[in-house]
Amino acid sequence: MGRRELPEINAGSMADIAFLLLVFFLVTTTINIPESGVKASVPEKPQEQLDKEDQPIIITKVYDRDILMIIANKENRLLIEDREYGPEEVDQIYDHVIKFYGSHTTNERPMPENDIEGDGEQDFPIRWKVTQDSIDSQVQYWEEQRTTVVNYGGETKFFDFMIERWKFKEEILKEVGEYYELPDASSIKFETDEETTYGFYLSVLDMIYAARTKVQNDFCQERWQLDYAQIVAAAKSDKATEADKKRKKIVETLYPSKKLQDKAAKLDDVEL
Amino acid sequence: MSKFSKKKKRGTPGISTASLPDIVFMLLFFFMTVTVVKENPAKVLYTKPTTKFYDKIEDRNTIAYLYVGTDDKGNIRYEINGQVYDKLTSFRDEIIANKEYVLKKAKGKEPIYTLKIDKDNVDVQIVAKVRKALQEAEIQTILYSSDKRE
Repeated sequence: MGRRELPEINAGSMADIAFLLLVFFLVTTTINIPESGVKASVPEKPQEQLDKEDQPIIITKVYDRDILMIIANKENRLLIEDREYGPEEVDQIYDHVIKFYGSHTTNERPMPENDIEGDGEQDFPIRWKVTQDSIDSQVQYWEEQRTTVVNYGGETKFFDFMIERWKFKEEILKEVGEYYELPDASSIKFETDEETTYGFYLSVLDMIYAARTKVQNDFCQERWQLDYAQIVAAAKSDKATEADKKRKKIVETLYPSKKLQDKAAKLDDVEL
Repeated sequence: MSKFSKKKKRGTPGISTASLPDIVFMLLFFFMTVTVVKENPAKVLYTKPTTKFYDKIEDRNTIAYLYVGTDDKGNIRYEINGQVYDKLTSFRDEIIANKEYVLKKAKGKEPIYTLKIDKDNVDVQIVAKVRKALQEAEIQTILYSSDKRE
């Protein structure tokens, strides 16, 4: 049998087909730009929250200087502590929050720039010194209290919590040396009117977050050459070691994230 | 009479287009890998706020979009999946109904509800109500979508 030559397939239209596909993809797709914004969390439903709350509330004396008050009203004006600022002066919050946190290496505070009263009183929380002596005496005190309670057959949960708390301070002490801690009662209080615009609300929140992140990052960079976000991610991951979790706890003790009390974020009285 | 006769025509040789499909396919694959399918444009009107500090979310599969803005008459409207609602209760019900799909799309990761909210016409009270709706839908992580502020 004679071989018949196969006719070649004409590939001339291949380019057209490819172009057609290319144009289709160019029209229907966009370049993948990561979504950006301010991350936040919604609190869980109240009844579930109650079960989880096993941490005792520690009541200490609150000084005026411990609280950084930020109010944003419906005309988009700001009140930081006792001074009024216009909507374009949101950046002022940044410096206030940085000063609020201060530094764990000192309790000397920078004076507020505009001290209206002129009395030179500190307007930011004064950190208190944690030393080996103070830890020893506190641990001893709480253990004595615990023994008394045990003898009377009472609940020891609170005392265990306090002892554990002080023992963790000892671990931090080993890591960073003698340090200064923010008072428990200190907080950043952020209040808004109901009619404050969302854009203004977010810009205030943004400034607080930015300052807080800077303070935390500065500490983490100096100590571990990492950002705080990286430390949180390491502590959250499945392969997290005790050291990873400890790092996060150290940062949360020296520069706590939970100092912000956002009134608008409270949902207890909100109805749909 | 010369021995070699001159060619009568000296036209330029044609450029071979045989490699053209290869080039175009290469471009095609490039665009297929670096791009994603376009989001449907939102029906409600909104302008994103700007912030200095922001988190980035690279993985699009974990994102679910929620919009709060106005219609063309200035009334507050809520949008999810191309559906526009004027009542928060029905908006919440739709979020709950949509939850299963969002979880499936996130493939085991935690879904992030990205809120695109109008910065001027929406006030804190409405944002609180939207958060309440999300709380009732048992959603934890949200992202206030924003553009970078210089």
